[in-house]
Amino acid sequence: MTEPVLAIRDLELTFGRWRRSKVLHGVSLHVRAGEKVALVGESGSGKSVTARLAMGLLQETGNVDVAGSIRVDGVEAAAGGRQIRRLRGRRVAMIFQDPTSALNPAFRIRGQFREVLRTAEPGLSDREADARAEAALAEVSIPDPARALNSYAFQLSGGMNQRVMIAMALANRPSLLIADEPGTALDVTVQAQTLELMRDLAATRGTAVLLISHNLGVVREFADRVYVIYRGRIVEHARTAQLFSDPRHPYTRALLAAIPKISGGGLPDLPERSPDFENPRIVHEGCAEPWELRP
Amino acid sequence: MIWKTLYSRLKASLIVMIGISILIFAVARVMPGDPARIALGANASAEQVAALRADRHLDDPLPLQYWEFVKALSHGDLGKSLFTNRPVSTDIAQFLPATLELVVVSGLIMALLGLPIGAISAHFRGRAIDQIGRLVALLGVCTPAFVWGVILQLLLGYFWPIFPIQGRLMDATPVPPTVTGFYLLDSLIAGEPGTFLDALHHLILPAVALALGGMGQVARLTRSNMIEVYGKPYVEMAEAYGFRPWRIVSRYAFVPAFIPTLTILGLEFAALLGNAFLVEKVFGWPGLSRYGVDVILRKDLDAIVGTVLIIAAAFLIMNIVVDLLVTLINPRIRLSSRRD
Repeated sequence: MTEPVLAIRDLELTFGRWRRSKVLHGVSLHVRAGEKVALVGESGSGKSVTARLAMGLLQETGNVDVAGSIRVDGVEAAAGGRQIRRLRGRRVAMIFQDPTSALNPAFRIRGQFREVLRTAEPGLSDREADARAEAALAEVSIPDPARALNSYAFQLSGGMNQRVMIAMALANRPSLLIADEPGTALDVTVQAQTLELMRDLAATRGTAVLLISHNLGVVREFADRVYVIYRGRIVEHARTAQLFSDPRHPYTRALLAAIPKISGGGLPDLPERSPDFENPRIVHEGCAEPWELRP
Repeated sequence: MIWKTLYSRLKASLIVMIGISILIFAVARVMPGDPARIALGANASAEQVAALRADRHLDDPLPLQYWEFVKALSHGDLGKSLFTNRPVSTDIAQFLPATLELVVVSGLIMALLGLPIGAISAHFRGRAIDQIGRLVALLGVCTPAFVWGVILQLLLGYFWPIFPIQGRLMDATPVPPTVTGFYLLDSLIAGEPGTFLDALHHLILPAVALALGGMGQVARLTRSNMIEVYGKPYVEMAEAYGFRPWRIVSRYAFVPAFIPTLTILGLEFAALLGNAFLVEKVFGWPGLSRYGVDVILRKDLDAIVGTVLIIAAAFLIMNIVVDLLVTLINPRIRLSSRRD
């Protein structure tokens, strides 16, 4: 089997130089080309920092201590640095929670899109870049791409901005797309539309997707496989169908019980902490990490 | 839309100018001391003083005097200095360009040093380069311009004499024919590079001394605004999409942070006019600020009013320019004012 696009192994993260606090305690996960994998957990569980470590973003702030290994597209990224920086925007891209605040308010979409395209092709002419940007925006069903390019983010709706972000993220045909709670700031219908769009585009291009989410409903719709993360540890790993039909870890069961149902019943009480939640990682059949398969 | 902003700012400025003129007119006249007596000296007879007072309408009621002043002003006449006996407008025309030249060059130094120092500090926040940048900025802010003047004169004019410390040109250098009054420009227009270099040589120390305070303020503000911007999602987005760090410092983090900085930059620029007088004093710079202080001490009525009005006008023009620039570079303001 080929090497996964993203392989995180025994990742540990500690913040702070003097008052140290450990937030990841050995996270392992992998995403293969074309796969859609979800990383699910409550806020503060470490899912967003895992994504930012994989992009090499967190390492640049200094003040963090990383152990373990992250391989992105064949490049070792755990220490951060130039190699992973050069992959960003080209081989790995990211979609953010609130698209409107993730676009620069002082520049038109046009300028930002050119910059994105030029990270892959530095010598791209303005005209060529604009043509590609328009094509990319048309692909995400933006009705008047030329007008959108001439707009500032604050002039467009949240849904439009989300589409712009998706177009930018996929413009350089990355092999991995990390979506950090995409559209959580948007209303539900727009969120659903953009997720669908992202899924279709990723599928046609064979882009692997790592979806970071706290929303099991979204995960069930979207992902092939699911990692459940709790307090900096992966507690359960399964195919989506397996996880929803047969949740084995007490924390996963508690999370599933917390999905509000339209049919009533209300929200059950989910204990904030439970000694059960600290149970060891559960791996469903056929879901071993690639390096665990070899003898 | 720019015109609309310009029009409303000009209207407001006119009202401010009228207010300032009334205020300075009244203050200059109610200050104790007889300007005619000061001008003529202790030996002049009472009749001579009375004659001068009558000649300058100093015994008329204040509103009447103001009315006469406004009438004269309407055809460009700012009155006559009691001392030089020349029209005040002639004095101002002689001294203003020197001050403007100093202030403009100083403002450029302030912006061209302050903005990059702040931006680089913000980029390397918390590291050694940042500490150095902050120290430089703090030194600039907390040391008055005239102290810088003396320090620079001592270091670069005395111990290591590579700069002249007095005046605008060497005695041996002929003054270029007046076109703008800016020696830098006039010498170029006259095609005399030697004079240009000499003028620049004389200008550097006073301009730097005057600039350092504002430079520190601009650097500190740029740094803090940019650090705030660095925490924004759009900077993380720029990093996540592989924008080069240099492009982020100089563009994607700098421009959003520059918008609030620009307002202060403009105010600092205008404040240079006020701070210029001590620097002009230290460097023997024949400028308007020094002239203004001299005439206040001599209670030279028309000259006080004229100088203050000119400096106020320069302040207001500077503010209008800044307002227009802010409108131009901030898309939110630009687009929202287009809508109505």
